[in-house]
Amino acid sequence: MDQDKVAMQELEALAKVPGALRIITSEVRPEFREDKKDARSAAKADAVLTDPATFVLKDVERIEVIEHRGTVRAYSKDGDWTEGRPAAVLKRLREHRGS
Amino acid sequence: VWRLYAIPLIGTGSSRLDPRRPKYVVEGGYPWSLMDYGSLPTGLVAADVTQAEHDALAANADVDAFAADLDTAIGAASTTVRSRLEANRIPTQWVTGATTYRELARFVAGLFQFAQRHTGLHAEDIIASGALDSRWRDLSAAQQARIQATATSFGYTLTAGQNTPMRDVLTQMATQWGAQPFYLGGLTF
Repeated sequence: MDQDKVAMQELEALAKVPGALRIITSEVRPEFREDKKDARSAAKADAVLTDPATFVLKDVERIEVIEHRGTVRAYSKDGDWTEGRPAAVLKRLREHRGS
Repeated sequence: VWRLYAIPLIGTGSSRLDPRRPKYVVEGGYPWSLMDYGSLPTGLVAADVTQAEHDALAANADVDAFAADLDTAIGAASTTVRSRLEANRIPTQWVTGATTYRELARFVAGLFQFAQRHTGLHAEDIIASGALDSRWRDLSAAQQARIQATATSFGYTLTAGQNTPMRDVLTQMATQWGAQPFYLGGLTF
């Protein structure tokens, strides 16, 4: 079974577990940005941009297969999404665990 | 000594008489290598220059020289670096005084690699002029699909929402190159 098929099965299973898969958005968490009130404010100089915990994380609510692109798209309830090949998306959505 | 520069590209590339090339560099007569920003008129150039050649090249107002030691922090030059690169459609919201020239070079090279493939696959610029602060929703569905296709071809993921700024999309694409080195001329970074 190829890597993407295994990843797809894992994505579908983990999507049912609250908090198991999380989208790492590009919005810096208030405590790590120069202006806490402005969501688009730049990150502070000492913010660690390689750490997922620096960014707003959102739980994955559902997974959609995009057949014609050979990709999968994981959505949060707010409509943010992460798309890519299943193995890449699975890896990305689990990176929050290291934060 | 091999040094790194961000330099405008000139020439149409339509014939040997007008090749697409980095400004000033061909006339310098020293060895050089170019990594371009897809179809956009900016290049990352490594050149093997003497101090006098470097001084002459860096003295041009539209040339940005990286520090000879790439592990040097950008420091007080960060404001200038940011505005210059942003004018060339390179997102720099992540650059601070503590950022090193190596980190900057790797980001730029990662972005340029993505842009090159995007141009090759879809024959379009990766980002329009002045569009770094435009939003994902401002792209047509076809444009969104093309960027996604380029990302997928690299094995990258793309995270966005309708309000995600394009600078964040490009930043994601620039930083997923991973730990692999870039080789340009006599430089490895």
